[in-house]
Amino acid sequence: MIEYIFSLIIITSIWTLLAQSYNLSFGLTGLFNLGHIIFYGIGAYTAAILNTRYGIGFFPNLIFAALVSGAFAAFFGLLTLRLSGHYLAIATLGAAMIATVVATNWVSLTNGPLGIRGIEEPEFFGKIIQADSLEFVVLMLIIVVFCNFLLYKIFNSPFGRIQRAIKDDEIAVRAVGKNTFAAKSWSLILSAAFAGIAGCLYTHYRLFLDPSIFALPEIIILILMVVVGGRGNFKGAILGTILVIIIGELPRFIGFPDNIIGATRNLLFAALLIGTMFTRPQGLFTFFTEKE
Amino acid sequence: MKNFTIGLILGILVVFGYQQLNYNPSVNSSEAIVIGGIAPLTGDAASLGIQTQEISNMRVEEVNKEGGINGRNLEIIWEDGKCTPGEASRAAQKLIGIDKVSVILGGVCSGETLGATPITERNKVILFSPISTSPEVTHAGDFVFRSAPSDSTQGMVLADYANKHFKRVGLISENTDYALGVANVFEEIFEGEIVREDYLSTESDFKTRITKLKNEKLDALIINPQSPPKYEIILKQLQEQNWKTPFLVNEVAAGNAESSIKFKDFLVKNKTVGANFIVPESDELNDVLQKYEAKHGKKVEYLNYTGTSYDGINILIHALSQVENISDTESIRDELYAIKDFPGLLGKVSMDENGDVNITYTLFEFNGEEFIPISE
Amino acid sequence: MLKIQELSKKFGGVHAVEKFSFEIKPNHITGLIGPNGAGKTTAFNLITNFLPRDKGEVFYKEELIKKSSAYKLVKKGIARTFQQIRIFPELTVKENLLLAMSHDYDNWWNSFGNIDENLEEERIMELLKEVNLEKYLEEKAGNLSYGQSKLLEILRVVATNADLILLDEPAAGVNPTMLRIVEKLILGLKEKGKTLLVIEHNMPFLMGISDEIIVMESGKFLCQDLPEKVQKDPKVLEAYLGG
Repeated sequence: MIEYIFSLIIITSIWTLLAQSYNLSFGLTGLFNLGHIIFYGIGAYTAAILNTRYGIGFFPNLIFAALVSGAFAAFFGLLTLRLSGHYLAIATLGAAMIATVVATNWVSLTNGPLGIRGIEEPEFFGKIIQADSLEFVVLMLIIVVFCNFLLYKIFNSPFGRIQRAIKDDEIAVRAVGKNTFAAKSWSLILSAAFAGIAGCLYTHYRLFLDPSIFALPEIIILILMVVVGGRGNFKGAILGTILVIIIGELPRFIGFPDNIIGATRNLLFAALLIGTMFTRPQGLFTFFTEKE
Repeated sequence: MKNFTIGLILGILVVFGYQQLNYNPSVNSSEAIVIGGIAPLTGDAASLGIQTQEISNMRVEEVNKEGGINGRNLEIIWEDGKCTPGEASRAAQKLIGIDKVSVILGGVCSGETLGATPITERNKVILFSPISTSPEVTHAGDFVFRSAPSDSTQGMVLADYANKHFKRVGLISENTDYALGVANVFEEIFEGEIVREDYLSTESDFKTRITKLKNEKLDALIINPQSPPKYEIILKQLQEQNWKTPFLVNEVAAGNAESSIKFKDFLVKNKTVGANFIVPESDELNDVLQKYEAKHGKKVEYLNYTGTSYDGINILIHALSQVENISDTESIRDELYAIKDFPGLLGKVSMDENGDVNITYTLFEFNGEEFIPISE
Repeated sequence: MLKIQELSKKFGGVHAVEKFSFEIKPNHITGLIGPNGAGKTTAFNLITNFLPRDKGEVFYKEELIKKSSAYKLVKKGIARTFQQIRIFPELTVKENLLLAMSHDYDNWWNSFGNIDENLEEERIMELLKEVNLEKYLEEKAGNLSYGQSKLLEILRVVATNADLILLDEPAAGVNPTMLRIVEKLILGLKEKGKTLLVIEHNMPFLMGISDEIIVMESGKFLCQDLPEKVQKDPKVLEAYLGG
């Protein structure tokens, strides 16, 4: 029983990091990036490949995952950040779809649809940290809290201020002398790097990875978490994640018959999104930071 | 607004907590033996997942009527694996953490089985898949078993035949979990030359690929699609280009004669041999099929997998009946490894040292109406 | 200070700006007028690189300005406002001004610290006091009135420390009380040594502050002279009343 609770905590904390990373580019800067899941998947695959093929461990993988995802975002940003909102949305969505195809077909790199199995758990000075153990929970929480702390610093820095200004009016930001292209690029790169770290955490937890990590339904849940919490709202992203996960687990526990759990979950998510849009579109948890 | 949200969160916690308290994870009392089940109940693979669930439940009902396992009823708690490793591992975690099962019947998709394995192995929980055929499952774990043959044996059987008859073959193969498994093993075992064309599931125009293969002076063509409709498209385009070599086809083609009948003259003229594992005709089989039709008002959709599901649940029940304490998974495991010549719908079933069954694919030749076994 | 030579821009078949040339002197306030559609704002956009020039050169302080990105010009000392107000509604007034003040983002690491806020607070308060907006320091800029927003936009441009300031219709839609504050602000900038180029339709206002007026018509240069002379010039009258 306790292990199940641990697993919920671990999954929730990974999602929190992923949502917060998305909150940076989508929420704070207002980049209409619908393909954020790519960075998560690239981080996950980087860790999986480096571990199973070259024996690279969990801790170095955190850095590698961040670097590879970030580098990919830099390249991706060069191609797409000059596009305006709607086009950016379509381009990023298309990229997410392509990612699935690439992961499935670049078999020599990713083992294709068969997936990569046998990924190792984190090792700390010779001791293996088992998934769903207390040590693992602690490790995850430390990493996630630390990353969130860094993101918090970023949100509240002059860099963060530029991002918020870009979200308001990018042309005006250029008019006060800022290189908005570089600013947006860095927002995307940092956002991707943290998503990559989340992907690495996932890989070394689930220990099996296949192209389904790029699946589009996950992107919708991610958007839901950030929008419900309040775009650009740091605390909101965390609370939004927890709320969405709890609502997702409800049908299973209220004892709905198995074959409609999936549909019920989707209905609840839809209701949550519509409810948020109608009653409080700036996010359900924004009152925590507004001065009332 | 603040109050509303606090109220909402508290409300959710109350419902959650209340359900937890009232949720009786049928902890294995002296009353029932509870095992877990993971199958795709929603999504693309749902038809196979639901059939698996139905066959298993049907058999369990029967067994319980006859006195259960050593006097105790058997119960399966099913979870939706959605044919993805992420969902399957969550399902496994829930079944093990909350329902406290020590045996899980599942997954159906190989991704489900492979996704659940790290959790079941860590907890020494038996994972018995009645359907997964990926070669990756063979070495997935000590407590992992299955009653369906590995796709690698399909590749093996086709390669053995090819080794005896052909020096240089073409291989047109779909890029999916299942077909890749077959193709990779074929390539490993076949000793001659292969010209390989892997195509995406989204492709439907193979004319260029076929033309390229035509110029390669091949002795035979291996056709390895994921689904019957794709198989038919490929055959049509081969026929249009007047293809003239023998064909070796996979189970998707050989298991479904209807598709081949549409091209019967073409296939017979070129000589077509396919791999399949079949459920032999028997009274027991007909019995099961009739019972299913009576209960669900329709025929089974997947005949092969009916056999593997039925045998799978029976083997599991047998192993469970041999141990005193069903939490003693090490004993259950030993019982499973010891399965030898178990009377199943698929024939005399035995487990090998990896937890794979000895059922293998065999070869059949298409005679214009059906695929009949060949003696090699 | 600013010299424009043969500035040209075509949209489709239409010459929005055609061979537009003029020169303005340092520390002067120069007005830019012309009927609607004359190409004034387009000229602003071309000079500040918000729109790429087809032809023509821009010289600032004798230096040729390349057709590079708009943001780079701010560092050189040229800043502008917009016809429709572009402030940052979700940021506070203080943050709106802070953003304009720090230019040192060549080194991105600086952006992650909080070093600049306290240093600049004094200067921000000074600016706000000039226009009686000090109590709105921590207020979200979106909550300001129209006139207050206009003032903020001008203050923001001042905050960039630019020497050449281009204002696009600073008096539009502003009530008479506010207008006096705007006037005071602009004249104060001249006193501090700044050079201004101002597009306006409000003639009394513009004539009152300008040292010289440039007139544009259909994208072309019409004339450049002292305000009183321009007001009486028959060509100018014809441009406004004719066609």
